[in-house]
Amino acid sequence: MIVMRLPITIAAVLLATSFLAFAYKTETLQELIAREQSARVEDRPTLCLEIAERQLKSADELYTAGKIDDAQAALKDIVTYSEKAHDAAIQSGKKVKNAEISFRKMAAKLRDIKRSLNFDDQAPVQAAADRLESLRTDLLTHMFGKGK
Amino acid sequence: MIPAWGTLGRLALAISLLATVWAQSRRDPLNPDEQDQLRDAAQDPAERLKLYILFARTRLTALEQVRTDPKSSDRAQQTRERLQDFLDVYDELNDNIDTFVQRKADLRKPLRAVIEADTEFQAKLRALKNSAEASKDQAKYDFLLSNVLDAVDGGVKDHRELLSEQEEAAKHKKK
Repeated sequence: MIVMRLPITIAAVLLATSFLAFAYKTETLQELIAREQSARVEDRPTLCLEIAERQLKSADELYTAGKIDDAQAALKDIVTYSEKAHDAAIQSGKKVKNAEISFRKMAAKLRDIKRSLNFDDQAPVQAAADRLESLRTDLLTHMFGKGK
Repeated sequence: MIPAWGTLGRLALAISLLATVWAQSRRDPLNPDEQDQLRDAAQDPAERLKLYILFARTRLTALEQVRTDPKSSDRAQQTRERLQDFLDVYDELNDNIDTFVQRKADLRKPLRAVIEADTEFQAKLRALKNSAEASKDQAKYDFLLSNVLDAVDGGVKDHRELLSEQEEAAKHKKK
């Protein structure tokens, strides 16, 4: 009887652990988002980049799991929070270089993800990579416009 | 009023940077054949990282060819493009290492090859930096070259630390 119950117990524990891990991750992301909304402009670049990078990781996992719609929603977040990071970096003059490097690395990751997908699913990923490159270009222009 | 030369220089630099990054967007730094090779090696960290090293090395070789080709028409522009190509591939190499680490892959052997390649890349890039300092068109790609050197310097450090961590973990596993 105990032997029969063991797999059920293990499955229940695993399920509960996965659920808790998921809940913790969601909550943390939500906390970050909430913090970003009330953060000072000079703190926003770091927070927004953190959110975008986390969503990039999520997008990668979701594409791997075949959850295309969810992955595309994560892609939108990547672009939205990258745009916010860009705007806050320019407005505050803080973390401009960090944002530029982060955009470059996220674009590289997106290109790598794109190549693992079916042709039909590639366009939004390429569009997100292009948008990040465009934000990066803008930051570079800003940096040199300031004579740095 | 005539603008200062410094302002004009910065403007020219900004325009050239814009041109480079714009040219980079909407294209893949890897050609279709390279993409196919990577796809075939998707599950094999050693093979995949070996390919990235090869692709990065190819970009640096192309860069050296541009620098030494007497017929090269716009050397500064081409130098920038080859540097950006190298950086894109190097970023992807690092990104792949991160992915394999998350999958708990044993990277000890491929990492040794990566570190060896890092050292080679560093030497070539520093040689370019030294030769560029004597060149009048250096300003057109100096910022990008510094970025590339920063990326490789950071990469070497990260790769060595990771190798050391993995070797330590392997020792404990054996015990």
